[in-house]
Amino acid sequence: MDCDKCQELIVDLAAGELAGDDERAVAAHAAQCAACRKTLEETRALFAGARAEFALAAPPRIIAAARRRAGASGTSPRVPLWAAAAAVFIAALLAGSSGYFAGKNEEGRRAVYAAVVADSSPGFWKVKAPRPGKVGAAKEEGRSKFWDYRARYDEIKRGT
Amino acid sequence: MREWVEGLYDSYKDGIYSFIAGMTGDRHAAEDLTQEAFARAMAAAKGFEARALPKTWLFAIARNLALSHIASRRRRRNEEPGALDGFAADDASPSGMIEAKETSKALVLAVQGLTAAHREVFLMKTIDGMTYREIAETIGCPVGTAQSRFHYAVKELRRALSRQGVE
Repeated sequence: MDCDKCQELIVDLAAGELAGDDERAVAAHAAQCAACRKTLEETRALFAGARAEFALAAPPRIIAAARRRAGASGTSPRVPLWAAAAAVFIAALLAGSSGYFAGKNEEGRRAVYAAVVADSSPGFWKVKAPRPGKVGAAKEEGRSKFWDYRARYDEIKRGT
Repeated sequence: MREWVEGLYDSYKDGIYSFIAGMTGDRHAAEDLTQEAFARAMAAAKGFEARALPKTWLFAIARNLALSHIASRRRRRNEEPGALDGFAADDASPSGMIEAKETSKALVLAVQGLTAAHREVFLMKTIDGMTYREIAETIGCPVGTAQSRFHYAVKELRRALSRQGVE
């Protein structure tokens, strides 16, 4: 091994990254070459100096503080504010609508449902679904049926 | 999961704290950021992927925090890009800075004078004894890049120490 190749590998040797033949070859060259040996010693001294300066012991209070922080921030994934707001809104909507149907209007709703099922008029099942381009007409046709049953709902509710 | 992270804490607390202190040049900030790193690890432990080593996972969290701290400090001080990559500005203030005698101070200043990209690799290698592979996994780069950055950092340190008359 020549000096150029040795100088390339000295850093890796001092850093513990060389093994096998490479390690032996660099060590053997450095043992007989004063310049490479000096570089190797300086490199090792540099690493030892860095460890002496920068390797610190962590203050023991860190883990307790980390526990507090983790507890404060919670361990579940964070939910965006907009998603939380949407969830609250939807929950309120569902609660309101279920209360509407499950409460005072439940009897009327069931009566209208029974009336709709019992409807045998030939036109009832021919209410067109809204289609692109004919939304107005379909809507009008569907609307009339809706108001028919709404009127019957009111009649049932009034007991007439 | 929290117990698992606390087990990691026992193994890596000194390494993480030293790494952050070396990166930021500020022991008080390092203490705070180390707390934050382990708090985040506790919170994110369920999402830990077994493909990564716990050590590199922890160091990646610590590295992100340290780099964010350096960037925010740079913005606060309105410093020129690159100026804060070294610790020279902090060295003048006594708050938490690494104290050093003249010779070792030269080494500290030389390390602090490296760019963050080279300093982090140098610290991971020399203080924490990480392999090139572990460093590459931590910072998300090829192994060859980690190795070349380390070589460059060593070369720059030798040059800086030589300029200051320290061999």
